[in-house]
This record gives sequence, C-alpha cells and structure tokens, in this order.
Amino acid sequence: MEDFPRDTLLSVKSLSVHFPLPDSETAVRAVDAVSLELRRGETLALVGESGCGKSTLARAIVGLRGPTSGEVWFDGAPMAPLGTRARRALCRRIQMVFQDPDASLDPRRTIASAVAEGVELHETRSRGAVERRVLELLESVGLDAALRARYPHELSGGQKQRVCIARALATRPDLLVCDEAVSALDVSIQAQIINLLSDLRDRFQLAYLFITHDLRVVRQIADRVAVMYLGQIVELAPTQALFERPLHPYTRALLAAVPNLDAARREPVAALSGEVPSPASPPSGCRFHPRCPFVMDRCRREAPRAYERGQRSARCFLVESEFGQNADPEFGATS
Amino acid sequence: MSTRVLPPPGHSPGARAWRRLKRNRLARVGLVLVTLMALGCFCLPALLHLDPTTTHPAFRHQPPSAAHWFGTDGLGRDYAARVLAGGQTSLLVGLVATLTCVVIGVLYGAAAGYYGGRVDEVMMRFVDFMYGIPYMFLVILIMLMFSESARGDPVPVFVALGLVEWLTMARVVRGQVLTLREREFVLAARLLGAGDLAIIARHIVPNVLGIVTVYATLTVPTVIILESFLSFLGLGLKLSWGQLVSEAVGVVNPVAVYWWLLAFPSAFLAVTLLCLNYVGDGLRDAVDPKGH
Repeated sequence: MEDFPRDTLLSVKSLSVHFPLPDSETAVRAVDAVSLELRRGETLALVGESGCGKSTLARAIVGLRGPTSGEVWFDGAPMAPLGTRARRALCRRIQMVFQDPDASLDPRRTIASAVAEGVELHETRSRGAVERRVLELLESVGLDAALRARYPHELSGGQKQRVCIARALATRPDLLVCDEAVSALDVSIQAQIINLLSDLRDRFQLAYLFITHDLRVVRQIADRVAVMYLGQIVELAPTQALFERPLHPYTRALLAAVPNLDAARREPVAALSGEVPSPASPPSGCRFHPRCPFVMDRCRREAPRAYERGQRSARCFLVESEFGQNADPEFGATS
Repeated sequence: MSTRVLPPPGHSPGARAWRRLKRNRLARVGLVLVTLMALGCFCLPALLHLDPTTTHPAFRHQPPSAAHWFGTDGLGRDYAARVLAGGQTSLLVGLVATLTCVVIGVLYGAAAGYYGGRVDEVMMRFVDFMYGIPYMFLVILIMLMFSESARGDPVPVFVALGLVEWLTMARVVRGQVLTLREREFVLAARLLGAGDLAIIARHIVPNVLGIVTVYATLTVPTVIILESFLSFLGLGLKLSWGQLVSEAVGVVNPVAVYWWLLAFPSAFLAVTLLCLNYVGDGLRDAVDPKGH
C-alpha cells in the first residue's frame, strides 16, 4: 500500500462493515473492503442505489460506526475511535451534515444554541465571543440573524439544513461529510443548498464527501465520483470523464436512468431489471452479474478486481483488456 | 452583522405543549380543581383554625352542621379538619413518592438506554425481575423492615412506594433514550466531540422530560391509591384519606349510619384521582399531539 501522499486528507483503507445476522453464520456485508482517497479541498461524490452501503460507509468514516476491519487515515495518521481522548482534536476537523434536517436539530434548543455547541467545545466559552461567532456562522450560510432565538420547528426544511451546515462549520473543519444532505429538500431548495455548499467550499477550502443517489447533484458539485454497488466501489472516475464515458455497466445504467441528461448523445441502454440482491448473500463472481446486460460466463464464476488506469478505475472484466492486468505505474494509481 | 436587533423570542416546545394543555377543557378543569384541592388542604386548616386532634367527647358522631361542616368522628374531632389534614399527607405522599420514582427511573432508564448492549441487558433484566415480584408483597416487606416505632411515619411509605413505582418510569425513559441516541442531533453532538455526560444532560434528558412529566402526573394518583390501600391494611400513614375511609368502614353498622365519615374522604380522594388522571391525559396529548 502506498504511503500517505502530501495533499491527501482522507484515506480509507480496505474498510469493511459487516452486521452479523442473528441465528446465522452469515453477516450483512454493508461495506466490503472499500478503499478510497480524498485530497484537500476536493469533492468526492459517492453514488449508488439505496441500500448499497453509502450511508454506512459515511458513518464508518466519521467514526459513528466501528468498522469490522480496515482503517481510516486522516491527515497522515489513523483515526482513534470516536469518544476517545485522542480523537477529540480530530472531531474539530471532520464534520457531517445528515439527510433529515428535522431529526438533525435538537427540538428543545434554539438555533443559536445548536450552532454555538461546536464553538463552545472547541474555541471559546466567552459569551460575547460565542455570540459573535454564531452570528458570523449564520451569516455565512445565508440565514437571518433574527432566526437565532427560534426553535427548529419554526424553520423550513431548507433553513434547518442551513443551520446544520452552520453547526458543522462552527469547528472550522477540513472535511465535511454530507450524507444525502439535499435529498430531503424540494428541488428549488436543493439548488440553493448546493450553491451554498460550493461557495463555502471555495471560501473555507473544504473537502466534501458527498453522498447522494441523485446524479444531477453529482454533476453540479463533484470533482470525482465513486459509484457504489452492494457494498463495493465499482467505478471511480473524475466527474467529467464518468459522465462522458461510463465504464462499468452499472454506471451506464445509472446514467441512463437520469431523465433529460444528454439523452440524445447516448445510445439508449436498457433499464436495469431485477431487484438489488441481498448484501447478506451477494451473488457469486461479479456482484452485478445477475442484472448486467453484458454478463459473460466468467462473471458468474470470478469476481473482477478493480482495474485502474490514471484517475479511473472500474471493477469489471469489460475494461480488463483496455486497462491491462496491472495498474499503470506511470499514473501513480492507488488501490 | 454588528447591528444587534433583538430577535423575536421563539416558542419552545414546552411553551407550545402548555398552550395545547390550556386548550383542553377537561385537563384545564382538572388542573384547577387539583390546585384548589392542594391549596385547600394546606391553607384552610390554618386559616379556619381547624385542629384535627382536639377531641370533644360531648360531640361524638355529629352529622354535618354549621359548626362542623363535615360533622365529627367517634372521638368528637372535627371531621373537616381531619379530611383536610388527611389530604395533606395523601397529596404529599403522591408528590414525594413520585419524585423519588422520577429521579431513580430517569437516571436508571437513561443509563440503560444510552449505553445499550450488555449494560442495558443486565439493567433491564433486573427491572423485569422486580416486576415479577408482587408489588404488595414488596411494599409490605419494605414497610416491615422499618422499626415498629416508625410505623405510620411518612418516610417508610415514601420509600416503599417510590421503590415500586420507578420500574415503569425506567422502562418508559429507556425506550425513549434508545431511539433518541440514534437521532441525528445526538450523532451530531458526538461528532462535535461532546462527552457522554454532556450529551445526556444537554440533549437526552431535556427531550425525555415531556414524557416523564406525563407519566409522573399519572403516577401521582397511582401512588395515592396505593397508599390508601396500605392504610386500609393498617400499614399506611397515621392520617390520610385512605386511613379515614378505612376507619369509616370500621364503624359501619346497621343501627346508626355515619355516612359523612365515609362520604367526605372518599369524595375528596375520588375527585383528586379523577382530576390528576385528566391532567395526565391532557399532558400526554399536549406533549405528543401525533400520539393518537
């Protein structure tokens, strides 16, 4: 495994999260040996159908869920488990925005108190300073300062999500994990929040791990995209390249399922048939083979590894000939 | 952002629940009556110079009259004074025993729910075990553990009733905490680096207080009736509504009907219990309007 490059912020090394099933030998392999890297200031989108393990992966990365195996490195060192003394300093640098803005705010605390919590824990307890910082944070997410004495139930969904972003920014993080942060919002509000997130990225040099099932959102915000299927990353590519030329059949199907997205330029692809198999008993060979339109005999027997070239990688035999048996050393590919 | 406009104050969930409670007619009536009952029991004896212990052998078993509104008992004591004094202890027992069970139940339930896993397993099996023991047996056992001279004192009764009633409270709180600790705002607090105690104090306990208030209000009448039952068995307090009823039943005979001895404490007890139950139900609707 390659050592930690200078500008890498987050490195996920062969991370697995399994949930043991009661009264059974098997386990739900929600996340299965996932490796990925995130550079400083970069936005990596993690896309996939619901149930593919993206949220579990996000929670394992921030430490809300202990991994079954594998490691998460942050800024050159492995992260200690959440709640330990060693981890507290890191808490400041990694923050998260959740999907459901209603559940994300304590109904019994005012907006100011929600935003102030991080400031009080990491910066200052002086009342005046906390108040100034809260106003500054509310302003940076575009909220009226008058809202600070309000309770969450008095705000709209979009406003609540802005409060959650302000709370996450309170600790001046380097990495913001957004777990479906716009999925619960109206489309018009979604666009506002996406714009806000891109502005904040430029202003505070934030790196985002942006989890979503909405490819239109991905295109607007991401530098790179990781496509997840049944607990594995099946394709990883720069956003532009992925949308222009998806390599994995699953990615192609996902793109084809998005309405009005350069539909004229691509030949139609048959919609995916069948259900997502259970992650407790994934199919033999390639996990995608029961639903793959290009399935070969080999796919049923043998699981493809991730073939890499340059910034791209895909877990499919179709790219084997193009990408070759070995990672091209010239591009400094990582696992 | 330097302009300091005073923001309009928000309406806290507590304030909203209070507004909803006030709109509920039965709960409003219940609340007013219980307040009047408590004020009456605690203030009237002093204002009217009523003494529940002075005996007048010449005026035994007098029916209600202008001089003795509720009549007199077998020793010629003013029965209004006795009913009010009995109300003091009954209400006090309800309140103190409920507070005991709130403190134990909330702490125990919050700990079990928050730490979960093995801790939760062991703690809740203990609660199940306690549930399995007939509560009257338990109460009588605790009462008997106190010395003979303490019989009739309020402390053993408080302890015994509190120790029995906290079980339900612990279960309710634990269930709430179990769901709360997976809520995103608690996860967010953990990610901010807040410690367990801070999270429990800032986010968990305030969010279970609503449901705790509801159950506490419904526990008060339960405790009062339990105490009455204990008095009936001769294990309760020296002077309470239950004990007065018990005495009155003792002098029931076909020759002379001392109806006032039974009617007044029974009526006071029934009205109080009914009102407290209405207030509890109203609170439940006010705290969780989606519950029904």
